[in-house]
Amino acid sequence: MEEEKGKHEDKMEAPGTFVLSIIFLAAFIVIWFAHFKWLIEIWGVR
Amino acid sequence: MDYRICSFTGLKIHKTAEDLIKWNVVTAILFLALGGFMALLVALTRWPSVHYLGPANYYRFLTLHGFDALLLWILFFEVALVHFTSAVLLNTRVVAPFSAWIAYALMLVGAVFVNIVTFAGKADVLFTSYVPLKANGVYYLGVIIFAVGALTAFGNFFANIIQARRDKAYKHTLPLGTYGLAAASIIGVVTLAHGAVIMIPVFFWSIDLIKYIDPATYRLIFWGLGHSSQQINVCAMVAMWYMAAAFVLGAKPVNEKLSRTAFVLYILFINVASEHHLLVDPVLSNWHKIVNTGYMMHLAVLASMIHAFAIPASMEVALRNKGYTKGLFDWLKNAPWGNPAFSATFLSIIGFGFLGGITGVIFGTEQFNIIRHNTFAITGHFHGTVVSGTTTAFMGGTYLLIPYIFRRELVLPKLATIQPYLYAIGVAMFAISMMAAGSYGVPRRHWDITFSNAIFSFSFDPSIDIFLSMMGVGALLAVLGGVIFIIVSLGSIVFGKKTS
Repeated sequence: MEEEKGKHEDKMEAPGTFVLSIIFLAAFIVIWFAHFKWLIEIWGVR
Repeated sequence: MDYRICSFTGLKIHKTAEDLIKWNVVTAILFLALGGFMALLVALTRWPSVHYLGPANYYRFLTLHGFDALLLWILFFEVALVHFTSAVLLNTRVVAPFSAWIAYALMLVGAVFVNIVTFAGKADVLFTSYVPLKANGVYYLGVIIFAVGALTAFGNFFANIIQARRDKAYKHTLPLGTYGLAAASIIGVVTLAHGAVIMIPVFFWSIDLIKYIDPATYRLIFWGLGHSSQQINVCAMVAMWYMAAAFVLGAKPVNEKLSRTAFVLYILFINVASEHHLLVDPVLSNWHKIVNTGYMMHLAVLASMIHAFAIPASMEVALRNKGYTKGLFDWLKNAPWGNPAFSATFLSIIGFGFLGGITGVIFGTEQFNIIRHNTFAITGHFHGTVVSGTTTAFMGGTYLLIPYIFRRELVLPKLATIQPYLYAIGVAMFAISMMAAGSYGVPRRHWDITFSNAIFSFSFDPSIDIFLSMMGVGALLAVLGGVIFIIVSLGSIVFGKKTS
């Protein structure tokens, strides 16, 4: 029981950086797919 | 032994190490000024409504811009870091001062040779100097002499570390800053070995002692030098990030073993990944390209991702320990944004990650590379890594070294405060604009994108004019930021109030 309680109190040390990393990942995915769009629509690669 | 204790850091500083750092930093800044001036001329030429230089001068100054800004500014600064992280950070001494000064002299002589012969119009071969383009033999000799000097400097680094071990200056393992420079130095030795393998025969070819150099072999081995030298920069930049976080905020790595592992990933994989320069080269097989850029490159990228999150996390932990614990971003709001050493470091991390990193992974993918290769987008990408990342980080490093090593206060502190922002915004603006223009097929390096005397006429989408104009405005902002950096740093070194 005590062990379980300890687990709940185990907080993330750098939650702000975690959120920043999610933003980075989202930007990565958006830019990556934007390139797919270029590949298909602008250069006509299929 | 002639030592002093730094009043800011408590580090024991050997007089010779201090002198070597000073000379290397000042030389680096002077070459940044020269390379930056060339950048202004080149950018004004790529801005269609200005188109400043004629074709001969354009290619000449582009060659010089690459050499001075990409190689000389960065490598002289890295050698300063070599001495700082080995002799100073480990509280030891420069073991072989004569050899260290010889290294500096060789680098300077090589640098001067290349600059003079290029200014004289005898080496308009651009940074890559692809065979069969032939420069005057002095150009290649200058590159070789410079490389021997840099190799000697890296040798000094290892000698200092061995001495520190003998002196029991560190207990178990190297501090992370020194560890990062050790990774940089190992990659440096591999890089310069590639340089020797290719530049020595090309030198003999340039003076007609060798009749033929195979262009494909040259390209392959050149990038073992040309790209790997950028990996020295990446390691040194990341080491600078860790050191700036530690010195400014007292931050400690959140997981030191992980950070060290990431440096090892650089050593193992980043050199192999340099083959992404040859993704459209018909000489290499697809198997070769896929293994190198589909797998090896991503292991090196993994290392950058680890560092890029480990360092902000260490900053966050340090700031939370200072009491900024409200919400998710209280620590970020209360970070020392007015301290140029900190702001330059943080902007470097963001610029390197968002501008250089993401685009690097995308352009390094074989299928995407086929539509971006040799376009202006690639130029935008590597300005995101080398300028937005490395140069901005080293500017932050200079703001730290001025009080620690030169023992001077910053002159014009308000200008110093805004400088990293001005520079980072300018660089981001021109790098993004270059990538946008490159997406429409605008070629890199080319003097005349209207192809005025070509047999077949071709015109780009008119929107490229907007992007290229934005690039010009961004370049002007970045140059202004660069000029302020040079005024503040050199002004502080010469006229700054003594700190102790």
